[in-house]
Amino acid sequence: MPKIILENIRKTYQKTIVAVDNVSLRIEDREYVSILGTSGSGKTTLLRIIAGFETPETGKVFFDGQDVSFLPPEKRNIGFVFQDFALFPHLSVWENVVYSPKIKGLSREQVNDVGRRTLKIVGLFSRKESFPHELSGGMKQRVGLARALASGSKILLMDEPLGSLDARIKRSLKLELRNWVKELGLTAIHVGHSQLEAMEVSDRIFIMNNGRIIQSGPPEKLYKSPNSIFVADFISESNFLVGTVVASKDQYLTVRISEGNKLQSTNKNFELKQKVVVSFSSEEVKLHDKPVERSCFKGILTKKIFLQGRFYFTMQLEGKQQVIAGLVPSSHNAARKIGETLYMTVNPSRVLLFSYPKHGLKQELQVF
Amino acid sequence: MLPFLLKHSIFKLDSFFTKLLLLGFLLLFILFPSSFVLIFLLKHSSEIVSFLSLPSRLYLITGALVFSLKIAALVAFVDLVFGLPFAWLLTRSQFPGSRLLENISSLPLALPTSALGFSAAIFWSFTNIPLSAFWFLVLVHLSFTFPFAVGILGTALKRETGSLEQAATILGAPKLTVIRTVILPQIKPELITAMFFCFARSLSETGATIVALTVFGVTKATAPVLVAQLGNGESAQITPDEKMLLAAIISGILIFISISLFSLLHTIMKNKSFPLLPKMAHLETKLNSSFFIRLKNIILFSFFIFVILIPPFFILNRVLGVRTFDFSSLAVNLFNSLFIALCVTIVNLLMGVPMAYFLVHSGSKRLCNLMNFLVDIPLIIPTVALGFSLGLYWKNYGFIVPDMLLIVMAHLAFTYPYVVRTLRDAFIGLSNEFIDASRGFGAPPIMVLRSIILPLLAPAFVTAAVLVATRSLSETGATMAVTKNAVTAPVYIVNLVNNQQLEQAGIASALLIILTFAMFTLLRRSAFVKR
Repeated sequence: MPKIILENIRKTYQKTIVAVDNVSLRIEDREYVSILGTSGSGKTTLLRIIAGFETPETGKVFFDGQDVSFLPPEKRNIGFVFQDFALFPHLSVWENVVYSPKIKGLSREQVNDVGRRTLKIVGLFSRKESFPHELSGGMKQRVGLARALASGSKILLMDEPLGSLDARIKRSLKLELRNWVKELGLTAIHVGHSQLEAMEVSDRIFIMNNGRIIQSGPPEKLYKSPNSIFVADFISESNFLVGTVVASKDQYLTVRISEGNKLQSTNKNFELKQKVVVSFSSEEVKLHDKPVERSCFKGILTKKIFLQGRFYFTMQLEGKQQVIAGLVPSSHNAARKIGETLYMTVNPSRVLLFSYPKHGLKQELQVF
Repeated sequence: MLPFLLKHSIFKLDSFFTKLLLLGFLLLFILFPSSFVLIFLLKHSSEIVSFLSLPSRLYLITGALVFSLKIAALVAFVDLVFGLPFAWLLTRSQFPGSRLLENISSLPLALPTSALGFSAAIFWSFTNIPLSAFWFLVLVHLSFTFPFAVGILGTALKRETGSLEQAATILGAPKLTVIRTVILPQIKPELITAMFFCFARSLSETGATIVALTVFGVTKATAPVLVAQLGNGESAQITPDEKMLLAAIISGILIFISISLFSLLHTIMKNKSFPLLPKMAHLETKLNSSFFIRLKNIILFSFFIFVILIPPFFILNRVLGVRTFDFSSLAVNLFNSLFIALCVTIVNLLMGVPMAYFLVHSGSKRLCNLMNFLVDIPLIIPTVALGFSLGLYWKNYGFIVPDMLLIVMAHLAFTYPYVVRTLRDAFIGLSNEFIDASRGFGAPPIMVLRSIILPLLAPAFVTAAVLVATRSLSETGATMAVTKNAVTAPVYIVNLVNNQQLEQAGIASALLIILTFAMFTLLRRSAFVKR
């Protein structure tokens, strides 16, 4: 049974700034979805529309088939986790958590039961007497989550819930978040801008840009088959090269990047002589000391850094284009020297092709 | 960074001499004069006992005090009941003209209370509503205390970010429950401050009260009126020395009440708990209906229009037909008022800047808290008591101080906290990062001061100057209490009313209202432009 449906939602500010532009989506019961986008893409506005903090100009919001578009937030029965925690500073951890059950008039036993259960889930029952200012950032967000869970809602909305936390806490809390959501059978919407975070916790991801959802699907699908340069750039550390289709043979298209440098792709939706953008993840690049057959291109090693367990080599191709190769650390790679000429190959099935954008590649990749 | 910058440049604020100078100014010019009446009472305790042995005198004092306290308590209560929803409306609702409404609501702050009181008194007399002296004064006092409540609560509500409100709403709380359980606890200090200031302002109001009582035609006096008029009205049958004792006793009691109440409220503020009372949520859900919201808005706007907005400006409508007016007398008094306001503003800014800086950057937290408390004392002392006390102080030590200087010193005392508080907040808000950045780019200290610190603090300077100047211009009670020969514009209006020259008083009030309104608007605009 579908849980949350949005139909043709549109929202503008000051009549000219389109925050959400005709968005429709469907989120299934007990699904954990993430809405990703850059700043100003409209993702938070969309979440606030679902919560009822904003009213859409057009379109409808349905929860379990019921139209809630004009229902105020307090009547939507939603759990909401804020980026800045929004814990009531004058109330203790316990009072924060049982705020909703108390307001809703639950009996004392029920209130105590809900409070105890939710605080135990987030592992903070022992801190129930503490006040928010006595807690660390991670603890505060756990309380924020416990408070949302205690509201009894089966819908959990999270606005960048890990945005204010440091990297270590973020790492542990994101997985716990998913576990709690799954164990409690909630439908969760997680808004953020970290693709890594979203890919780890989500069943599906919606990518937003300029107020529109430009692609959605399971993390793996988005990673392997982004439908645009924007999504490819957003979802992974990709290389983008400009080239021309020069041959079509068997199941491959050959794209010429520069003199003597060619790449092959299994994507055959382009015509000969068409100008295209070639994209592939830095992790898909393989290095060779000598030229190998088929798609092979050479470059000069100009920069070498070690980051999060991988070597990242910047290779200068002929002309101004460059490729970044993310490599597994090995003594062979460690010994490579700046200025060395190397040959690269990429599995053709991992090479994506896009039409060359109207306003140029640079403009397409620009982030504001 | 800032301490370093100022320490090694044109200011030597960290020196022992500066600290001594600041403390000396605070004690000699602000605190001792403000509370000297208490020492006077101790010295004359035996005379006081014999003075109070006559029941009629005791009755005179208690009657005036109870009358004043009842008015002040009701005024503070009504200010809070209407001020909170009004401030909420101004800060949370988006409607055409909300900014204009916010500006209009703060207008009475700038008006001289004697002119405002005269206008309000004429308005309420015009309505022909049968009012007792008590209700009449409550309505008059509401005109100038309400903007205080709205201003303080509005600032607090603006400070509160929406996320707590949204968090409570999404957890299922109706709007009134959100306000009761989340917003009110956050703004509790401001609620108490607003209530106290409205109470203190009403308790100490003199000019508007004298004028209103005269227009209303009653001889019943409030406590500040007894102090300011020293021998007129009900206290006319006693000797000059006894009149002095009477004024001293009332001033002492007013100071005692204000300080006790202030301390009590401070204690209450420390208690952070706030009951949730879940059963009230049901009632609040019902009150959240569109019918009740509409009803609330109608009552709120009616109150604002008929009690706050029209009365202070009603006089403008009544003076159009008047042909003769003694402009020269008003001009002399007005010039004096402006001169006093200018002197007070300059001296207060000169002495307030180092004190504000000291309160922010002093290393000792305990000393800082003590100094903060001491600086705030003149704020809580009724101005009429403060003026009387100050007059006693200077005369007691045999100084022959010209009347104008006495008035300036009285006004200095009660306006000093406005400057220190405003600049203290500005210093707190001045991020050291800007100064570090400027120095990092190679600016010498004097350039940092000129190009970074002063421009950033300019709005606070303007705000402080506006507050002090308008407060000085509008003061009547302290001026009348410090000297009998005061010649300022508000006192001129009181004298005209006392002499039954109501038409002349009307024109003088109207002109004063127009002038201060124009000044206030200009200064606010210049502050806004500079910002």
